Amino acid sequence: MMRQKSLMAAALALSISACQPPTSDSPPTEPSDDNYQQLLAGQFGDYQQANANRLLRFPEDHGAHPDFRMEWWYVTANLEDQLGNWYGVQWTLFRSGLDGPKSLGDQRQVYMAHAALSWPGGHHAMQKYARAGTGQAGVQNPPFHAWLDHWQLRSTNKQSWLPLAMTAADDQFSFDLVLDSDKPLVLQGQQGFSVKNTQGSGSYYYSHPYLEVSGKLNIDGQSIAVSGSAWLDREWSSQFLLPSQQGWDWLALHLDDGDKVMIYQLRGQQLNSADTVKWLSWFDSAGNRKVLTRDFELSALEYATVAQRQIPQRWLIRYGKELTLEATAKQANQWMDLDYPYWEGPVDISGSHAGVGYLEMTGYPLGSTD
Amino acid sequence: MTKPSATMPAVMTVSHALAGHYRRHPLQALFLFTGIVIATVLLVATQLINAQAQASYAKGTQLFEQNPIGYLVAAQGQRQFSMASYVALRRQGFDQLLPVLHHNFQSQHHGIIAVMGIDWLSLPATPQASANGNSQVKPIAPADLTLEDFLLPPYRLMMAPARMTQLALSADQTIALTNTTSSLPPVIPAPDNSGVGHQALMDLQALQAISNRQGMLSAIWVLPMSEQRLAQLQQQLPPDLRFRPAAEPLSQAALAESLHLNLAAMGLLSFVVGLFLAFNAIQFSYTDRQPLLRRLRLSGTSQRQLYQALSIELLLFVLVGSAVGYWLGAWLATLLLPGLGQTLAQLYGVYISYPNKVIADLPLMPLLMTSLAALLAAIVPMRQIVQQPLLNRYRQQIAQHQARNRDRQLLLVALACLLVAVALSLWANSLWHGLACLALVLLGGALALPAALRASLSIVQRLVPANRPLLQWLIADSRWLLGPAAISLMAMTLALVANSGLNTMIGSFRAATLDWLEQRLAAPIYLSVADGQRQLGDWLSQHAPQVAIAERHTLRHGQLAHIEIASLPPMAAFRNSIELIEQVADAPQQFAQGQGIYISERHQRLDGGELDQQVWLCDGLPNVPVLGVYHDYGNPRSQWLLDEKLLRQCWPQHIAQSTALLAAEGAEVDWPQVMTALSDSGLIRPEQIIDQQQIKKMAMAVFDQTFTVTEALNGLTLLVAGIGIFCATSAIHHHRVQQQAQLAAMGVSQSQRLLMILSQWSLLALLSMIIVWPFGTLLAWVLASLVTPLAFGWSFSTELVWQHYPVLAVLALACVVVATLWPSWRLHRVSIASLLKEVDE
Repeated sequence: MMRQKSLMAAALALSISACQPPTSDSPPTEPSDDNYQQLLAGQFGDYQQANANRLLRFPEDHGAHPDFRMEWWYVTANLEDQLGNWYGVQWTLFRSGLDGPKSLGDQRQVYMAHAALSWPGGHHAMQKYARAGTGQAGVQNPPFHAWLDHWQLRSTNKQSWLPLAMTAADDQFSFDLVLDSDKPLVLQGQQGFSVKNTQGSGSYYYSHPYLEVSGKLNIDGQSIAVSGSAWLDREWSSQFLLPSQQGWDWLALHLDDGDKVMIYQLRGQQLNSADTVKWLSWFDSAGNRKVLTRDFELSALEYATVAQRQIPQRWLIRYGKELTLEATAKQANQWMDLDYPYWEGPVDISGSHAGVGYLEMTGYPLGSTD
Repeated sequence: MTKPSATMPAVMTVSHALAGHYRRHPLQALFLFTGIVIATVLLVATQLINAQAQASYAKGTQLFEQNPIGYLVAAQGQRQFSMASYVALRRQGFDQLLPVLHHNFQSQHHGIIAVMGIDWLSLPATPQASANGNSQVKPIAPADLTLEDFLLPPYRLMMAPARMTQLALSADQTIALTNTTSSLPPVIPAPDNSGVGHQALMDLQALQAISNRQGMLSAIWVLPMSEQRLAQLQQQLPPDLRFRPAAEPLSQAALAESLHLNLAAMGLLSFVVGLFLAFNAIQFSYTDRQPLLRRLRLSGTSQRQLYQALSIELLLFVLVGSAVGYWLGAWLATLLLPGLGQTLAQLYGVYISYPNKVIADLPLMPLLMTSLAALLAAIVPMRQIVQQPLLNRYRQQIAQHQARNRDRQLLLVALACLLVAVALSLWANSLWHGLACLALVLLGGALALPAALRASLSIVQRLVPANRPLLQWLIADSRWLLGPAAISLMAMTLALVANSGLNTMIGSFRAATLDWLEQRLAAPIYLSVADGQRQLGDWLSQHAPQVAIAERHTLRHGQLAHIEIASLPPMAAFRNSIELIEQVADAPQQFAQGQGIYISERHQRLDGGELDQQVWLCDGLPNVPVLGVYHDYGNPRSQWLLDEKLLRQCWPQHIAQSTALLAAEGAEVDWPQVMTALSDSGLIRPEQIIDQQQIKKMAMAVFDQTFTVTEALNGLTLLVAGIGIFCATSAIHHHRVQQQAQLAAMGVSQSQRLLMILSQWSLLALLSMIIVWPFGTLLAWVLASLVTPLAFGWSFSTELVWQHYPVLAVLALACVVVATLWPSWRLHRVSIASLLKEVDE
């Protein structure tokens, strides 16, 4: 149980998008994923709060921000082999600050990594943990290098952030990919400050949605050459969710015309309550933001039972007349059955635009029907 | 054949009538019951802790249900290595690895605290999951514990609840350390599935900081992985590490077999003591019911029905007594388990887990043994009472006569026991023989007691002047008393002989070990430096040329895994520190020239090593002869001692585990000054310096703790015997009502009567010392010269602990006096008239 909490503390803080350690006035946390969202909502300890006054700086901000409680390096990739079979890859490193004074330095930092490989009919999730300070896990920058054991995301070139080499492996599964792009990264929210609740607190958030990927997957001993698109998200903060927020839905969409759309929704107790916060940002193929709005429709059209939960499988996204999309999970069984379980997997896009993307959903309780 | 329908109610009626006796004399029921409980309780407790240890061996080392298949340890035998090697392996993709650091702290009030530091985040609590696999998250710690509690100051020390009880620690208490102002983190109880036993757990980084061993590991656990992966790991090991497979459960069990056998023997001893007491109680309850049984027979009850009723009664007692005995035994086992764990940890380096409940499945053996023994114990008195002549007039005289005969027979059995014991002691070559010899000496002593008491009473009577009639009567009456009291006195003697024997043995062993340590610790200063010895040597030759430096190596034999190889520095002080028990001619000279080795006594006694035998050390070196045998107390492994030069020929790369500093021949050294200068030089941290006194203290602390479980059992045996004797004596006093009444009728005052009873019993207790003292010493000799050498390979001479003798006498006196006072006080409240009336009954 401690492990779980730890995790929670560790991870959640992170993000799978969101959670916070139980506070004394919150109900006792059982190690079931149903309330892991609680973890994300806490603010504690000797950590800075994110605010809109700080401008992001690069390459410095590719590195770690240990003065903030949680941070992640999050990559999803939609891939294809030469025969046109689809594959999905996820690589995530979470840094989580434990509730101790700043003077403890690395001692109060722990790392958690998640990785997943998906293919038609299959899905494999992996996780790892490590403490900071021993060399087993960390983030160096520049040149950029984020790792936990042998899983890593690192600049292959000392002079520039891109291209990035990305690997993860266990005994039977692995991936070894290179991500590159000639387009710029984009700032989310207001100049990189992304509001996460109605009280105005949030996180620093930037993305690189234009990454092109190539490399190899190894699925049960079979080596497969793949290529496709990847999306990198970077976020750090000291508080992500309010205790009243239950979880989130997040979509990163690669439209066929080269445009990119990111949507997230932090769900309050009631879907239409004031605690529910949602944003849509739309970037053109050159890296310019076309739209940043809260005024759009996001609704689940179809559910499937996954891991004894009702989880949306098809979302409708509607923004004015320009954008009407349906994002449909390639397969329902994308459950990340880890210490912190959640759903994450590739989607197909249809409607006003075609394309592919990635969908992450957290905080759907056991047996829930909504 | 009687019809069951008619028999059963009849038997029930008879049983009912028989049980009526216990309603009037509930104490007698209690005494019988107590005897059975005593027989069961320690037997069950020792069986349970032994079974728990065996289960632990079978499961192997475990932590939160993770079993290592092996360990990565320092390649050259060092105690620690840099964590960088671990991180390097992790970053190569070997993730089924768990880094650990072991450290022993000397605490101010709780002895030595063994702590293991682990990296919580490396513990694979959750298996990797795949979409179609069903992974389960196992809770690994109490729910109210957060990761922060563990990883951040003030940290937590996770301890098995049984170990906390052993150390009298409560949750959140901190343990103060000696030689430092710091203390260990607050203690929290470990969950049941933690597998935690003697060692406490804490965060690795926290332990590294508190023990001042930053960045160091003792070992890396290798958790289950495919054979292919393991082969890759072994190929890619950095040069400072080597793989050591986990010990086979069997080898661990074999290592500690002797200890378990000893414990089982103590359980049996208590069983025998309890049996004596139960037998005693059965006899009394039958004797008391003679008139009742006669009446039942006269009113038409058949002998068969009486047998049935008495057997049912006995069975009930055995069942209820055993049930309580099991329950108490299981409870006792939880208290004794950490004692066993401590002994195993310190003697063999084997760690067993302390589950919160030791009862996995209850052993059936104690119940069977108790039932069988109770039946055997009851059969003779049952026959006597059921088949008694219906008209019995001369009970007293017959009883006296029978008692004398019995004592004579017992003496013969005792002599036979002792004869066999002598024979065994001459030819013993296995631990079983040693233990059998031990049992025979014990039994022989106890069985010889009544005859010895009878003989001594006759002598005493002759010494009493004829003009002291009351005194004469007192002695004569004491001889009568011997009849009923003999068995409880035998039980007491059994316990006292065992106690005296064990105490003398432990005392002798302690003295021998202390002497041996004095002699073996040739250097005044020891340094725990794994590396950097060269710089140390350079510094010393520059700054303190009068100080000589000596390396100390220990390693395992390449082919004979049970043999430990140690080096002796080539210096007079060390060479003189080895006292040989046996040797060939010119042994020291040949040894110094590297022409042979010495072997430890254990190797000689248990592995068949002998003088002049040729042994193989390593490839490329011709076999060398065994030149001598030396004592190696406390080492559970057989050891070969080599001159350092000889060791270097085989293992040129081996790094010494520690270093000793001593005065160069003929030089005087101001040690405090040298040590201060050495610390100031930065080559050595003060905590790496251990002086001889500290080692001695540490070694003796370990020695004393090693006997924790033995001493606890020893004390318990004495305690249960005490309770038993109290019961038995009380029962006898009930039978003395007749004498009391007669004396009272003759005008002997109450206080005079009390004085007489007390003197009688004190006399018997003191006279019992005639058996207890010599047999206790004899038992110690058997333990020291037979059992311990056969069990552990250590022999030592028995030291007579004279001051112990009066203590035993006082103990015996106290036991009977307390047991006498209470029933006497009860008798004295009853009027003479009613006493006389009871006589009539």
